[in-house]
Amino acid sequence: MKNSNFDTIIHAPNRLQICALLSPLGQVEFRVIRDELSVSDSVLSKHIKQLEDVGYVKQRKSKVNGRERRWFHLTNTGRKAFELHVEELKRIVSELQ
Amino acid sequence: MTNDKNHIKSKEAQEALDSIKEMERAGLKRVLPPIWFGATLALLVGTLIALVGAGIRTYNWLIIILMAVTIIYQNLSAGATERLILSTRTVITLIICSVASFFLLVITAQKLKDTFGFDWAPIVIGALAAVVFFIITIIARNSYFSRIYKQKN
Repeated sequence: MKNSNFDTIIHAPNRLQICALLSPLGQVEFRVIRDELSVSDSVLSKHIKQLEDVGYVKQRKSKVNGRERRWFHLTNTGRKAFELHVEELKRIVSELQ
Repeated sequence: MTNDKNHIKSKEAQEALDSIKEMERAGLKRVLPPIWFGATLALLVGTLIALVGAGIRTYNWLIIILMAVTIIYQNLSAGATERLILSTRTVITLIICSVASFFLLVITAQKLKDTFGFDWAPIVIGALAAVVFFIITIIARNSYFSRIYKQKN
């Protein structure tokens, strides 16, 4: 059975959680994603880089009290891919039940 | 659990869906506006209407700055911003209605004070505006709760 809308980039557990966290929100700060996923900075950076490379996530930098803050959001492409992936997961569950 | 890159089992798919729901709920909880936020904004909006209605324009800039600081502080401390799901037309309509309501209240307060001599009018109208604004923020908060609850089911 070939899963046509199944996205292997998104499906990795951490990246799936990143997309799920970003999906109902506008922008989310790096520290918030790190805390929600309970992962280290380096692990999160690696996964976000992969999502950025395929154009699913974009970042915006801002400075508060001289400290740089990074905010992330899902792009339209990323949102569409995530929605299709969720639909595919639902289809798999319903078909095999 | 994964057979290969394009083949996954039902159990894995269900676990992924559960994990998605949990994270979406966590995200919505992050942007749930706290009660103090709605109360502070309501107080500031009411004060602004009362002051402008009473013809006192000295502290208007301070109230507008406090409103901006409150909104920025809330967004920064939450570490997330809500996603605007309304259409551009709805947003423009809401802005026009808000500005129109603001001026309507201010003009009413000024008329009642200057024409009819009701010196208390700006304070009462300001207080009413604050209460209405606070109720709107509570409704917004409840809509977030229902979205979070919907994610649970």
